[in-house]
Amino acid sequence: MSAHDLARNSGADTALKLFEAENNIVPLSKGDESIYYFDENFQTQQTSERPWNNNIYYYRKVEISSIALVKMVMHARSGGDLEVMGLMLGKVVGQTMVVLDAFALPVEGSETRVNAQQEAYEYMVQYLEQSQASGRREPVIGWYHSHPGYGCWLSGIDVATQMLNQRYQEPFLAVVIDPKRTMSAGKVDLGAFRTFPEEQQPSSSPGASAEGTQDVPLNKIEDFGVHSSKYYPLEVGYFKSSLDQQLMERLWRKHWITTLSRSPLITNSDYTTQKMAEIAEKINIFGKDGKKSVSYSQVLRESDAIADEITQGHKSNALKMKLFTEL
Amino acid sequence: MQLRDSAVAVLHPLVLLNISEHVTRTAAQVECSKGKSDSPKTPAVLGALLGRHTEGRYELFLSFELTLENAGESGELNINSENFEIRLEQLKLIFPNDDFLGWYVVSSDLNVTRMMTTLHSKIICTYPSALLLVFDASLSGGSTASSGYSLPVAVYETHQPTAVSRSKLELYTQINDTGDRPQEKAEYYVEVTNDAKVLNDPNAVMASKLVPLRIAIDSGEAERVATEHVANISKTVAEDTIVPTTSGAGGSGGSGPSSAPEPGIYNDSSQVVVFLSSQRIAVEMLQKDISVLKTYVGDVLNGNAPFDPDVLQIVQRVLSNKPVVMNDEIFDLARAQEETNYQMVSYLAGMTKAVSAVRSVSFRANAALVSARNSNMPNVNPSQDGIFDVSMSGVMMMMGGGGPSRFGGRSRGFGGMR
Repeated sequence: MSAHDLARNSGADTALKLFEAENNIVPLSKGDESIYYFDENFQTQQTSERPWNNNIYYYRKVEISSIALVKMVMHARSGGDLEVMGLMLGKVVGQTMVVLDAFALPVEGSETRVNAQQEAYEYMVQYLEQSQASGRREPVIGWYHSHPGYGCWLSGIDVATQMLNQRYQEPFLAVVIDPKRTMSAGKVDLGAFRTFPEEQQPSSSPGASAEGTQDVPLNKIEDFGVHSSKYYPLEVGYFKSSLDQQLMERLWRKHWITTLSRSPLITNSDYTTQKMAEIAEKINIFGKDGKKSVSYSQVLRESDAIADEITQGHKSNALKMKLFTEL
Repeated sequence: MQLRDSAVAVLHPLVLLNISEHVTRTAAQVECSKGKSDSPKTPAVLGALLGRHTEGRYELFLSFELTLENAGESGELNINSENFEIRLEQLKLIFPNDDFLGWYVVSSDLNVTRMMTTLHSKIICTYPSALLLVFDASLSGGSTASSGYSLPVAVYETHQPTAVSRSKLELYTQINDTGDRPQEKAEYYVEVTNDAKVLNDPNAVMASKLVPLRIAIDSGEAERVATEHVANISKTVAEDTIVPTTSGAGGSGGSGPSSAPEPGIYNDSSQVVVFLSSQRIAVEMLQKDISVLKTYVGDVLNGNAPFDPDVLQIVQRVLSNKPVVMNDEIFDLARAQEETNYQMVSYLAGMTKAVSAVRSVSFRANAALVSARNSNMPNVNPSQDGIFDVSMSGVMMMMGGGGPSRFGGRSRGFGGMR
């Protein structure tokens, strides 16, 4: 008995040491190291000069980590037709903003209004405290929200929110995800934006910055048009660690089955129908010769996109027919 | 190991990615703060797993990091429970359907260590059926042959505590402390400390057996798209990914952001190309797997490989699967309709494109004409704008006619085809 107790105590003593030794295992590539390491001094130095005051286009690029991307897309999708929002954690390196993680906020909006309320704020503060205690040291670098089915752009309220945050919270980034288009196209539909400060609007002609890149549905087009000159899109890149890479390779071994078995035609039938109706409606506007808020090239692009998506669905069906029934 | 009839742990890619990120981040912090000042020791990498449990199926959706409480004099391991409670509560606000199912710990192989059992016996005081997931960050895998393909995780289920001889706990500990590797099939027992039952036998102890679970992978639709994106599109971090220079003051505020094309295959190819190549990879995988099975069956026939009735039975079952919808009239009809729809849409899209092209040509022609007229022939009737009547409505209405039909809505059975 006593011998056993002794063994247990010494075991507990060494357990931690043992564990630490066991854990020092992951060989990191140089790149991983620099991107996943958070250096407070470096961040202070990066932001202390407030370079965004001199150049409203200071931040040009966003790098999003694999985990942040997956979290945001899944959260956006889980909201269904409702808008959801959350915050992103990360850092800045030169003119690039790096998003390392994201978390959801318990806020659900509808239509084009997403606004963090008081409870969400409390939630956020508590979450940050806890995650910092757990070793995630990056500060909040921006917010994301979803636009289910109507594309990635900033509405009037979004612009106001973003402007406010950029005034007090710089560096700050806005990311918009369209989960419906993501599902429909089978490709992540995501946009990253920053607004111009109110007193420093760009001198170029209004509407040049964000317009022409997004397909906006008819009932939102006014909201889009009015505010589209108040912000600019950032180039978006994605990265993953080398461990992620190896993991993904192994995951892919089991994943291809889903690629084959899914049927895009069925998953997206509602969206496709809605989209067709939308295009038809826009074209009817041309006939009436009313307001010219809809551009021809935009309709063209939308019709191309939807045709592409249906082609994908059809091709995958044809492929499966060939593979499994005609052999 | 006989795992076929036991429960299954369904892992979602998000959980794996989250753990991977946790490892990388922790390692990066340690690596970079080494030699600088504070503690160069590696903190424990562990966290909680959330998900749903139904009838022997553990589905793991989410995870979050856990921290160890500052080890006191005794050096005893304890999970920071305040932190744990708050974070669990917070996540449940957003994902109300997911419960705490267990915890993960990162190690350099898939074996259960003393530290894991110590912590696990504390966790099962509160959550008697908690799972233990061991993540092998070295990715070495257990068996060498299949390790390239298998996931670097092992999941253990906690069974009902039973009275076992104390040596069951000891045996394992001893093996590990002396540095000998425990055998593959070593049974792991975790002491249950909060069981009030007094055992007569001083050599017996209440302990729960840890049983390895079969592991499966599943992902939601959105998760699939996102992970596929991660797997195929995003680059691995290279040293030049982020260059910490503040050079290039970025021009004088007026210039618009130059949208340099994103590197990757989306850049200059259409979505259809991307889609088709992913399908191609999938078919390639299918072919590879079939050829593995084929080789195995061939080897068994030649007597070169051991005869495994279970595997062969599965092969047999797959082979005898007939396509469910062979010669089904309704299915064929639905498919034909779908095809017609598809062709219609392509047709309409092409037509829209053509009309748009004609329109832009006519615009340019008119513009050229007007400017030519203004400079050379000032006396021409100004009310006549150009030679083309710029209107898309006539042809484009056809496109509008395509709207109301539902795509995919009528068909049945497509999803079931594998």
